[in-house]
This record gives sequence, C-alpha cells and structure tokens, in this order.
Amino acid sequence: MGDIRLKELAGDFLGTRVEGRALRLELDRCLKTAGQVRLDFTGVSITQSCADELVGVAIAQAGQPLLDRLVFANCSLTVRAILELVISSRLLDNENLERTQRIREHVLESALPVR
Amino acid sequence: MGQHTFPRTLRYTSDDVLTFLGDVLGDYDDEVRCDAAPLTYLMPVGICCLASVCDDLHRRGQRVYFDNLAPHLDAFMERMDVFEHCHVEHDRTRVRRDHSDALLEVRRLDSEADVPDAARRLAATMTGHIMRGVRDEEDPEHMHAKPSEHLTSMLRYVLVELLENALTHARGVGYARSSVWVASTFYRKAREVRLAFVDNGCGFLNALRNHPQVRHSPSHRGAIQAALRPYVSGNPAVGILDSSSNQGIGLTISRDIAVASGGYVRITSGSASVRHGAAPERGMAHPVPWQGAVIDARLRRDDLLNVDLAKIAAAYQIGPKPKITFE
Repeated sequence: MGDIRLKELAGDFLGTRVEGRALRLELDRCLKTAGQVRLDFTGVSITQSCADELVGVAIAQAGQPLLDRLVFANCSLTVRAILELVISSRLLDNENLERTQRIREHVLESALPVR
Repeated sequence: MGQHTFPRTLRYTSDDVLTFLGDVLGDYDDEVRCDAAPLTYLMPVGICCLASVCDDLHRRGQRVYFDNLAPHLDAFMERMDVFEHCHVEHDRTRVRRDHSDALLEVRRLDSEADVPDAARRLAATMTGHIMRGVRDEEDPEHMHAKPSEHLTSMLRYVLVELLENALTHARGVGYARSSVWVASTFYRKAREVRLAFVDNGCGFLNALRNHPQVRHSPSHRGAIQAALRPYVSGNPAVGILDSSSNQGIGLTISRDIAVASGGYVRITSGSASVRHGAAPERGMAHPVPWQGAVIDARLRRDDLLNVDLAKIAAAYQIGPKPKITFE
C-alpha cells in the first residue's frame, strides 16, 4: 500500500486548490504503483477547495472504483466531514458524467448507417 | 487638477463612500487631490476599496494626494505598502487618538500562489492579537484543538477560501489582470474580527451570468444571492476535464462560519449589496456601482472559538452517504 503523509509534504493546513493540485500529482504517482493508497491526515486541517482538488476532481472522473483504492487515516471530525461533503458531491458528478457518456454513445450508435 | 472630499468615515460600502470612490476613479487629471479633513474613521473594507482605487490611478500614471489627513489615520497609511505611491499632506494641528484598535495589515495579491502565505501570516497575526489575555490551554481529553489553534484554523479557512475565490472568479470576462486587497482588524473592546476582501475584477454578475439560477433574470443582487447558495459556481463542471473546477461551497461555508460566530458577511458587487447574518438578510441598491466585488466579514471572537466546522460542512452533504474507508 502506498502511503502519503500529508503534513510532511504540505504542512498542517491544506488550504488552496493550488496546494491540492500539487498533492494530487503525488497521489496519481502512488496510484500508478500501488493498489491502495493511504492518505494520512495526522495533524492536518483542510479546506473544502483543497480536498476537492486532492481527491474530488479524480473521483468525479473515476468514481467509486478509485474511492475504493483510497484509505483516509487519522482524520479529525472536521476533516472527515469535509471529505464526506466533497466526495458525496463528486460521486454524483461522476454518475452524471457516466450517464451523459452513455447517452452520447447511444446517440452515436443510432446515427451510424446500417450496413 | 481634480479635487475631491473624503466622506466622514470609510466604514462600509455606503452610498457616500461609493460616490467618493467613483468620483476619484472617474478623474483622469494628472494630479488628483483628496481633502481628508472630514475623515475620522477607517475600517478594513474602506481602506481596501481606497487602496484599490489609488492603485488604479497609479497604474494610469496619475499622482494622488491626501491633504489634511489626521495623524491617527496617517499612521496607518504610512506603514502600508499599498499606499506607497500616494502623497500624504499631514495635518499637525489635529490630535492623535488611541491606537489600540489599530488596523493590522493590508495586502495586495496578484496571484493564487500568494494565497497560502498571505492567509497564514494574516491568521497568525490576528490570532496573536486576539488571544492576548485569553486562556489558551490544551483540552485534557484531547477532543478539541487549543483555542488559539481553533481560531487560526477558522481564520485561515475563511481567508483562503475568499482570497482564492476572488483571484479565480474575478478574473473572468476580460479582467485577467485584476487584483485582490485583503485587510484584517481585531477590535478589542467589541471582541470582533473584521476581514475585508476587495477586488477590481469582473464582479458576481459577470462570473455567474450563464448560471441557470441567474441567467433568466440577471441582476447584481440576484447574482450575489445565488453565489451564497451551495453548489452555485461560475465553473462547476470544468474540473471533470481539466481540474480547474469549483464546487461553489467555499463562499457558503465562509458565510456560515461568520454567521455561526454571531457576525455577518456583507457582499457588494455592481450596484447591489447583500448582507447575511447578525440580522435578517438585507439588500441595498447603490447609485454608484463598484466594479468587482467587496466582501466585508465580521466574526465575533467568543463564539468563533466554538464554531463547529464539521457540523457546517455536514449540512451541505448531498446524495447518499459515500462508502469511504476511514482508519
């Protein structure tokens, strides 16, 4: 399992989308080599924006299968609530995205000429 | 040479303040003189708006003079970088006043990369100021953060979210080079923190003009009210493809932190102001619009120490509870 200790990488307050984006690059790197990645939030506070950039954007693209590969460790009650807020909304975005793609594929298939 | 007269106070975005600032901004003479004799009181939001206007004039190559500025206000401005291009004529006949409520810091930010450091410094300075004389002990059961840590975290949360919002949304629709000014003060007697965020960008209406909650009857007031609702954003879905997305929650949660502390958030953009908290929602129309956005936040120290961010965030969770592995 990959292990990302957020405090060591980015300090005790993860605030901006810019910071979240930098951490997501590290997360992407770990996901390429490990089946599961543990994000360790020991001593860390996070904003909704940074949490969204760190995990929300990727979950909007890849949905529950990606979420199943992530373990969130040592989260305070506040960090936990913020992660739940971000992830629940991005899972809905993922459902909408997949539905849109299915409709698009269906429309394209229907439009193909019959051989 | 343009001549203008300051209003009596620069406290919030009242009509007389916006009229004065609009007149100064509309003056294209090489030298712009402002008689500061009537001015007795400055608050963060007023000083940020003034800094923004003076910066615009400086960029246009104009010289700005503040004449007859009272010594207690002069002291503020002298140590603020944002007024380094303004020329101050002192009025030595006026009496100095108590500085215990001194304005702590005003900063201009031009890039998202400036946000973490600015928020960290402002929150730390404010916490140091606020916690003087307050017991700051560890919770023996380690269930809660120390009061100083909780305060710093709350302030940083609001500062980061509102600064980043301003630097991203303000830069739409032809305002790519807009800047943001931020100022903070702690009023010891009232035990309240005032934060101000001022930008000269595209404003709420332009940022949200295409949003379904705004586009049918676009107005400045409607755009501000929509922005305060959860999940309303000018660029909500972009991130699925290129990661520069926004969920439209940052402003809502920041508003809730201020309101939960017994304070309020007041937003001015274009010709409208909307205030949430501390009293029933209040809207105002202004004869002179502000190009960009002004956010004036009041947070009460004593209740801010007890604000539960987990509870605020939980209120905006949508859809079924996600299956997340916590350990």
